[in-house]
Amino acid sequence: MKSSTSSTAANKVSTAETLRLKHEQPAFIYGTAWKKDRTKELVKEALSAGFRRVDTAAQPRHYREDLVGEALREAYSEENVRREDIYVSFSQDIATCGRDLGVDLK
Amino acid sequence: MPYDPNAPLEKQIRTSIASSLHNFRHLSESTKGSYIDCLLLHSPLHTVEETLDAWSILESYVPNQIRTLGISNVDLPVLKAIYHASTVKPSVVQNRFYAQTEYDLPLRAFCREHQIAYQSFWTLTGNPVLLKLPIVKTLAESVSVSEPVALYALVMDLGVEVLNGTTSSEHMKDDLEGVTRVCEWMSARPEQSGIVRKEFKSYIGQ
Repeated sequence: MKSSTSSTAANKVSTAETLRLKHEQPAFIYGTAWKKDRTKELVKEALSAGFRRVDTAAQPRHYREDLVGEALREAYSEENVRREDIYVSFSQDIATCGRDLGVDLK
Repeated sequence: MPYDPNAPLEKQIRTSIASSLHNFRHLSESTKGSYIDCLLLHSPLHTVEETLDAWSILESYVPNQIRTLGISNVDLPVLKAIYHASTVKPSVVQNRFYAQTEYDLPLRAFCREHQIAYQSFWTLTGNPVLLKLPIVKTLAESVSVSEPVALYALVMDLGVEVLNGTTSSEHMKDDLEGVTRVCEWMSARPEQSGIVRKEFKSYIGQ
């Protein structure tokens, strides 16, 4: 897994801190809207590149939440990524009660 | 849809969350011990009362199956109402960061005061004007990164966490490495970065 922390910075901090920096900086969250059938492959690529946060939604029109889940499970077993290193968030849309804005908002 | 749109609110929410927990099980054979770090309500409902009702259903999953709660597409009055009425306080707000909301200035200040993470989406597509700011161009040229990377870094410098949905493996690496390089450049040059930061903040009114 490639570190986004520079070797200079890494030398100054302990291994635990290096991991933390690697996971928390930069503050990107990988967004998974409109990836369709490529969702699994792209989430795995993002994890390999160094992303540690993944965002999805229970909205089948725009997201393949099932494929995000598959990508994460494969990464946990194949790529030495631990569940506790990953931050997973998802949106819950209350379709009939939410404001009908006519478009998806993200 | 993962739920029946005619079912009552609580049943809809519970059915959909059960489906998501199944999707995010970390072992293929069972959902035992599975959890999600954050569940966001996609948007406020018609009334604050309905939003608070939905929120209290979500609260019942915290902390075991869901660690924290958040809300997307929210304005400050609704966020305050949730914050003050809830048992499980919002941990995350996910909004579009753009000129039409004046970059959510007071809302982001509220988030900072109450330890709520502010996450932005459509950060590049929603901000063609910011991408063309001279200060963004100057920073990009100084660090030899692209203008989108310079803008990402400046937005993160405000304390914003940024959604990035690139489908290019090249951009995935360049964005991560580029932002890291901008951060290193800025911390090595406090005076210059102070000027950059001040100019960017003054443009967005912060």
